[in-house]
Amino acid sequence: MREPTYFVLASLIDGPRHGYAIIKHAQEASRGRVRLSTGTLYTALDRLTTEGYVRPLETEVVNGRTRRSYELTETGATALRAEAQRMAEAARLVNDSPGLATLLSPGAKRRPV
Amino acid sequence: MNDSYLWAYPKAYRQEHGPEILSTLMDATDGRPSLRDRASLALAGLRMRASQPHGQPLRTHLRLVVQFAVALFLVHSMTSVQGITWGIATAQQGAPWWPIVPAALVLVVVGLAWFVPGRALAAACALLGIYYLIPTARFGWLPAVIPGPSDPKAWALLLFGGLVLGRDRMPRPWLAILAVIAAVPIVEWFTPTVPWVPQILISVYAAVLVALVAVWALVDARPLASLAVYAVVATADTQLLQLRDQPAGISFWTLHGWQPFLPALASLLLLPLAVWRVRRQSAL
Repeated sequence: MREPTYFVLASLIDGPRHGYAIIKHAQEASRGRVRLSTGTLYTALDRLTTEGYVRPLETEVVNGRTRRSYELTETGATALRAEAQRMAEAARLVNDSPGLATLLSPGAKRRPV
Repeated sequence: MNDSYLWAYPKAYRQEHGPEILSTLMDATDGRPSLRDRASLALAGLRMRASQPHGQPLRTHLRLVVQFAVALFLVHSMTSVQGITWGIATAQQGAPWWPIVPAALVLVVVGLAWFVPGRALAAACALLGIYYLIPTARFGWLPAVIPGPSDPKAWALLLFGGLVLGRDRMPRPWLAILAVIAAVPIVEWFTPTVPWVPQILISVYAAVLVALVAVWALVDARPLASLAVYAVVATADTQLLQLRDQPAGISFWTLHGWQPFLPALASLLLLPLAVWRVRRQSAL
């Protein structure tokens, strides 16, 4: 799963959001790394809808703007959790390694394994 | 709000999602979309129009890549011979009208594949019959420059007809690329017969093909992968036949050098890049 897709799905965990809210949330949650353009966002939402990962809700007009929110489906939640676990395992490999702590401690010397 | 921002999207998608996309665009850009925002929307719309893959396995895309490579080879082999268009080759055979026949046949098959894909194989078979019948009825024989039923054109035509019957429907922009290329020899037919015109047109033919596919790679890289496969096959078709028919005692390499194989070598280098791009664009 590509990073923008991950953050789009992650932005829907707490409930349905509309397009602009997804863009803002993805940018904040990724600390500015993921800046989705409108075109990229709707391409991703179209693909995710086709895959059954998200579901579009009815449109509503708020302050003259047409909004459509998207919600995470069970399939999408499962895929998102699998991706998060994959990344967590990869991170654990590094973070839980005693060798890394030793290497980063002051005055550490490299020894052959 | 300005609907022209969404010109590249398919009409049905624009009707369904247009207002929400425009609302998001206006919110995200404070009502003033930049050139970059417009370009991003145009590219996204074209990608949607190009029937972009939706997380399908790579082999599905590679099947389409092969299908389009066959189609390119079909157009190539039906509209040119030994590196030049048919005009110059057939004029000396007493059949100067011949070039328009294969080119028109390709256009008809491409048109059928566009509108009625299920009938393309039957149409390809019928057209192949006409392809050989016309010169036989006119002259009682096939002009020497028009190869017999065992030549690759027949197989490419049938293969193309058969492939469009498959479950993977070729995206319409690809058929448009084929139609433009197939139209080049017809343009040549209406051009006054002067010796240098066919050579110029075959360069135009190649340039049109490469330019169309290279630009389209921004939207969809699959035709680029097809072009690479096609270039290898087309080079093998023309150069290796020459190599086989080389008179004894003269080295092919002394006579032609390695340059004729340059497009194939470049294509072999391009192919992994194009496949990488296809894999990337198909990822979720």
